Amino acid sequence: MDKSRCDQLLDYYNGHLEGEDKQNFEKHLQECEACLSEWTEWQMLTSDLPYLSEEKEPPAGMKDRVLAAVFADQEENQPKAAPIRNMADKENKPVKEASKPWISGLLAAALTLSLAGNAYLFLEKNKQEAALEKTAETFKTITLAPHQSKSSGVASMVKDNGNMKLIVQTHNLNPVKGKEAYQVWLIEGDKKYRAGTFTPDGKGNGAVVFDVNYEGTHNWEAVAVSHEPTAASKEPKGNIVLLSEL
Amino acid sequence: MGTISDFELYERIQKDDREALELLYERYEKLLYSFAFKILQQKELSEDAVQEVFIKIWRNKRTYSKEKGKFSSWMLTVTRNACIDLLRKRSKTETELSDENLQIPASENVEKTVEWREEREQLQSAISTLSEEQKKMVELFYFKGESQQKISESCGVPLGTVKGRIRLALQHLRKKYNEGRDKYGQEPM
Repeated sequence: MDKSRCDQLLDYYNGHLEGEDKQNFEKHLQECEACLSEWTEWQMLTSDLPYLSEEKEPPAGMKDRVLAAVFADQEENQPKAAPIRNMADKENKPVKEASKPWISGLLAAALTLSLAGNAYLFLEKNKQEAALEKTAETFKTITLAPHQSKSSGVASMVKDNGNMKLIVQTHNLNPVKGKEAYQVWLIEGDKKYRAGTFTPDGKGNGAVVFDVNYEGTHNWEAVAVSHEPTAASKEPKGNIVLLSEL
Repeated sequence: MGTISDFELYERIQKDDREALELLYERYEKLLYSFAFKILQQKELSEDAVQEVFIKIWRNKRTYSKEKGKFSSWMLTVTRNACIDLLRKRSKTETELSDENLQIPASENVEKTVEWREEREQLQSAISTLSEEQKKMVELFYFKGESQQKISESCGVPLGTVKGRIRLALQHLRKKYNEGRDKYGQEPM
């Protein structure tokens, strides 16, 4: 046993040993009773020192920000917002009329591209749509009614290859600030199920595709879009801006 | 109905119970943030450190076990490690010692966290019995995470004596701290 390693205990404690040095010390720690005993002693001797810290008030909104980051890995399993930038030319058209090809385009893109991160989809009406029309079946399309807002939108339930998807497109949403986000909710009775989160583009336009794969059978009654303080809200906390019965 | 223990919350977190993590967060937010701030002296970085701790708790399941001691101590160790990592990542080595760090503050907020406040007061009282050199060494070692080499240079003491000196200081601190607790009729640690 290399006794000279005993001198490295403090540097190991503070994470200054790397690679081979670290491995060798860890091996040493298992063999050297004196070091193991001293290691325990250092931990005991330092265990109260954190309480020397003076009380500091955490910054406003820290909890929401931290929890949103903590739970973000689970959010990543859901498709993310895909704001559409070429929607401006459609804004003046009646929503219903514009919705079908647009939904097809969006779904085509969602199915053929990986919706990773906050990737923007630059939708083009292309050949994919024709192919998609054959596989995707639109169950229902509704116009989302503004709720104390000037926003508008359309939501569709679409079945593609046996998988149910909810497609939401929005217009004129107020911009988000900081950690704010929009969330889409599927409503069944008193229960609200978070379908997903998105942030609109600079013009308030957003479009997203979410998988609807909740356990059990559901009789969805309505779709709502709310403006949330963070992406982590488990229940709508912010204002509902769009709402319609399915 | 008693309060849910930290360990019970931790067990619930193993089953992806978000509410349990939120409860644990609320319970420790201020302590962990204050501790991180003590090390990092910067609001944003301190928030980042706390965030890393909770991300670790949430994503890396089963990293804590009762053999590792009290859950709160383990969380504080994880917090310190996160802070020290962040300190090292900072491009500028802003680790100059603030001589005020181990001094007893002239005034401070007396808040509801009575236990913590009392503990801090006793610790500060114990710290006040250390020599200036000892205070500086404890500060550099524990709150700055410095290497023995750097501590040796900063304090002008031989490298081979650094560990022994800090250990002696900490033992002295612990002795005085326990004496203080005895005086106040509390159980020594």
